[in-house]
Amino acid sequence: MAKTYDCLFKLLLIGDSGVGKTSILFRFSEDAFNISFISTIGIDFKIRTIDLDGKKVKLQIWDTAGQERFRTITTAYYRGSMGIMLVYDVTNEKSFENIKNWIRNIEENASADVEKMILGNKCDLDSQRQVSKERGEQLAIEYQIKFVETSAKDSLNVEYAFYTLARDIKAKMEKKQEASNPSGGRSGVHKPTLNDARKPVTWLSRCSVL
Amino acid sequence: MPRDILSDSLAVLRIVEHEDEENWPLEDKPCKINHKKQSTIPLNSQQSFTKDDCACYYNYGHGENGSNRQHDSIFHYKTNSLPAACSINQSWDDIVCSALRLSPDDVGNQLTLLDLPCFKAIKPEELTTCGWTKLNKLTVAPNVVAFTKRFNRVSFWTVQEILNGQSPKARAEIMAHFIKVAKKLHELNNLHSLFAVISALHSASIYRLTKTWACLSKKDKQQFDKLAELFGETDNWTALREYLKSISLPCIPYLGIFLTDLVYIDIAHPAGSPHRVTKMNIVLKALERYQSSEYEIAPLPHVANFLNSVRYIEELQKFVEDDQYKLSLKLEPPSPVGSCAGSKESVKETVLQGNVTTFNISPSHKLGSGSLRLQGTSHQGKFIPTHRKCRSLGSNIFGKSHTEDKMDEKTPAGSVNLLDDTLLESPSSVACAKMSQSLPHSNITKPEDIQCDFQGCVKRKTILKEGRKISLSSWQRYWLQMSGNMLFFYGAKSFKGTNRSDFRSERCKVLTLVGWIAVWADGDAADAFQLINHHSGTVYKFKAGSEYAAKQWIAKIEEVTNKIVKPLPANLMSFE
Repeated sequence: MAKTYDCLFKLLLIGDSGVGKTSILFRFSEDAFNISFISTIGIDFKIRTIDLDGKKVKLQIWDTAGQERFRTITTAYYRGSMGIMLVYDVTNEKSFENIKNWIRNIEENASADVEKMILGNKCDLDSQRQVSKERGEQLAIEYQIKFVETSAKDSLNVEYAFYTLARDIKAKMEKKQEASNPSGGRSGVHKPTLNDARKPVTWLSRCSVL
Repeated sequence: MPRDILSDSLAVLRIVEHEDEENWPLEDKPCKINHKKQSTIPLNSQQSFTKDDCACYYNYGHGENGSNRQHDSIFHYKTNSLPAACSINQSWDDIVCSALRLSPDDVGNQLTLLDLPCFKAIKPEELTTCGWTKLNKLTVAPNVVAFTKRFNRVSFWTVQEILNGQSPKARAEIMAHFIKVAKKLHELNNLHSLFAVISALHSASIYRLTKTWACLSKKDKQQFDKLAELFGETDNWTALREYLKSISLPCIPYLGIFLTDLVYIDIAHPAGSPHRVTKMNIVLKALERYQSSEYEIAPLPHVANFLNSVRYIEELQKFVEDDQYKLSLKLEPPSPVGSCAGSKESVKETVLQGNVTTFNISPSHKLGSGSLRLQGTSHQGKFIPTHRKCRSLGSNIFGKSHTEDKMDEKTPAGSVNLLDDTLLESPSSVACAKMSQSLPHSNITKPEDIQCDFQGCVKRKTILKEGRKISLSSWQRYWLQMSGNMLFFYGAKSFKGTNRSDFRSERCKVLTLVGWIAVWADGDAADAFQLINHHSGTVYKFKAGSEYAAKQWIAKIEEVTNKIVKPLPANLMSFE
């Protein structure tokens, strides 16, 4: 079977229900409006193959659409995920506050080195805005996660967000591969390509729970 | 099932939910024996227990979150109850009932009986409006919300029951019990509660319990894996969709996938678009068919009461989750090295050039494969991707939490039989457990043998040494070299200079990173970071020269500490 891509990234869309995760997904995925797939067995429409520096990267996007209230977002759900989009709704304060809970959930369940990005969605609805862009940025700085405001409706920054996340994952993987390759990079100082967001403070505080 | 387990698993989750429909008082719970007589279903294991036929529970202790409940109207009667884990030998124990005393069949049957009316109550209007995703969900989609709550309730209860087991063996026994419940639910086509139980075992609090999973029999693990496979999300929930197609009524499906489909339809076909109604009707029809299910199960009021007593307040869900996770950490402390963040695996698992990553659902699988791989890899520089669970299994040797401190001193590392916690032989790795002492360099390999992973000029100050604060500590300059899990210190030749040549070629100190963590030094210079060993109570502060270098050091050290593993216990079998 011919492979139509060079690598596959599993990405998750996480956030409260109603923040527009599915709209973002529909805006981005290639078969977004091929609606006949919605409940079709064996066909996953939540995919899109993008080109990153000449490499075909297939993004497989997992979405909890409609199921946020079930406690099914477990370790099994996070397993194998390489990037997580944390989505809140700029017109919904609660969804913004819950980002912290989602991050904690990710810390408990997902891989420590999973790439994350915060999206403040529905930024087209400026008149109903409850969360300022600055607060979003502040939160992102606090967790050292990239942040962008998006509008699935106006197709603003959605592409950018996915490309950025995918690029970060790819960079991290390449760095790791290089590091694990015994022929290269073993001697001397490693090339500093580290751009991952470490959170030592959180890390320590978690340890002190013991 | 051995009954001795009851002595440490009497605790039952009881989270009371005041707005809930069934309002039975806690006090008059002892169910009458005649319930049994009425029952047409054999009571299985219960018959030998005269005290079983009652359902009395105490409150689930919320710990420091208790204050949140002050406003709760039923707070008063909840305060009658006891915090978790102090049930043993209380005067209560003659009326306390535990999940283990109920046969899996009874639990499965009664859960199904409780689920069914709740499922049937769901109205099409709740669904077509996607009301459950709205802020006013309680008014526009009350039954969807109630059904979701039932799911979460079963899931929380399962987690709590398992965590109530005091030893890994006891917990494994409870886990096995719930796997049997799951099997029964599967037989009943109750995919709703089945998934709730599966999710509980996959939750962060349970999934990470390596020792517990290790005590689970191969058969139970396989059973669990098989059931869990149904709920893989791969290819748009293919496994579950196929399965739903293949079974006949009665069936209580997992509502989640239907909700997902409805949300997608809602977005793909906004109100007014021509296909919306047709598409939604397909989903509604399918649900309607399932809603016509009838089960011929005799109600067992004492079991139902028991199951109903398990509640939770949705607003406090976060705290319940928190408490459960904390309890889980307390029961089986993570190794101090880099495993503080729950179950881990690595992005490295996927090869860049790669094929589709295969996602292995089962923790037990991971345990198997992980343990195989671990055999040869402990203390080697190269990272072998496994689930963190396996690694923590490997590294719990250093799991020095307050609960295990004393035991660890007596117990040689790696020598505990996983099945019964008896001692095996004293492994050679004990030496390693005497961690992170500064060793004379003569013990270590010669300098030229050392591969260097990272190095640089740093200044170091001792803040805390074995719990004692060092008041007269000064900054010392070192050339610091990292190799594998070792840090080598080279003393300075002169008073300044930051190049390698400004430092001696013979090292003066060696530090093994086992048990250490690297963190930012809060409120200090931007280039400062700390190495902390919580066990020995030693803290060193470093200045790396620049914030960037400090970040690099932390990352490098974390990378190493994350992969430190201990040799596998001698009697751990691999199941693959």
